[in-house]
Amino acid sequence: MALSEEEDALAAEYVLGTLSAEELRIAAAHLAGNPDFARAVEAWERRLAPLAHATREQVPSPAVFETLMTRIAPASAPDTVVSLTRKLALWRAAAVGLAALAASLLVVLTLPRPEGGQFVAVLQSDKAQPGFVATVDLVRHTVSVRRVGEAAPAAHAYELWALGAGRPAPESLGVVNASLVVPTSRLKGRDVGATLLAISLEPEGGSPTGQPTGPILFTGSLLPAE
Amino acid sequence: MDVHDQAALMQCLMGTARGEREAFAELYRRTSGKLFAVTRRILQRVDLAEEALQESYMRIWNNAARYDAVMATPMTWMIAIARHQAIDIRRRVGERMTAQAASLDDVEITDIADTEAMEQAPELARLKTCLEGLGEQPRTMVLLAYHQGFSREELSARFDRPVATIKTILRRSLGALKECLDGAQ
Repeated sequence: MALSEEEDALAAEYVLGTLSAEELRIAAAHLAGNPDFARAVEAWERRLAPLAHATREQVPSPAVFETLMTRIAPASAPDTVVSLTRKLALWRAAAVGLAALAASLLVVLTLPRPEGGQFVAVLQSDKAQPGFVATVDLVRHTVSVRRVGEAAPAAHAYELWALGAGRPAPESLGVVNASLVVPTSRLKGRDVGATLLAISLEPEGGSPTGQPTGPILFTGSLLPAE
Repeated sequence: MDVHDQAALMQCLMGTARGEREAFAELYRRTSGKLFAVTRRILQRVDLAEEALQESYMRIWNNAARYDAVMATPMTWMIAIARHQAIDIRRRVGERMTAQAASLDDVEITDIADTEAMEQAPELARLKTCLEGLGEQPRTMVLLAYHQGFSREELSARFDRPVATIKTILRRSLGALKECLDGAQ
């Protein structure tokens, strides 16, 4: 069935982007339910696209790409560890504007820096929402984790895992309620700078199997605190 | 963009549809410059343009399996996604954009006349000829809407014509463009 002139004009303006909010709703309904209308929209995209093709390219910030790669698959596999500096750039980009969180981050980042080094990680969701901050202190031999997001849902617990650094499987560092401190010996000689921390959602008391059984909700790389 | 680029993009999109991160990364590498230029024109602010770019690639990642090679080239499909995303954000952010956009109009429109891409793109040359047939003011309206995401209200303010008149002019112009383009094939 051919479209009426009115429907084709609606398709044209849908592509041009000038429909009112009300007309946009009508067009969206047509688009979902009327294959002829969908084809008319595609024809209009083809007619006008040469204008956009001719636009001179511009280079977006590398943070866009880094964030995308994090979003499309939470970095839960060892081979997804990105270089530390890039991850840092990503974290900086993601942290911009999170005023409410700034205070808690500041506490972590301005802790005294003993010789031997300290590593910091912000564990984020795939939507770049921070959930936990972690520090590894090689002088005090502690791994400290603090929750900055919401508590786990009822009858569930957050469990902290160390990944990457050439190890085949995640290793549990324990269940985190508001905070958790464990000795660095739990990292079992991992290269801290190549280690990824992750939080999974588990049944109350932690994973019954020794491996994550629920979704990985937050991940972050350990970065040397400068 | 030649036929080899097209084929490479199709490969990337097919890989993306299968959930291959590498294919998606390659797709981004090949296309983000163009899509960013598209979102930048509509959203003059870099942060908003990058937000639109990121959301566009998330849609591409999630919808690659729905891409139909019969209906559009990969670039045309992705450009449509980026434009709609950017216009969506522009409408949400509101009129604060308009003042900033105003100074760029002249650049944008002459851009089309002397772009290097024209010689390699017969489609663009034909579209330009058809646009010229519209007359200056309707052509400027169509280009401001397409390139910079102007709404009817913004065009109404710019050209000091009632919104209903803008709608009429746009629809008449698009109708004339269709006739000109489809008739030339």
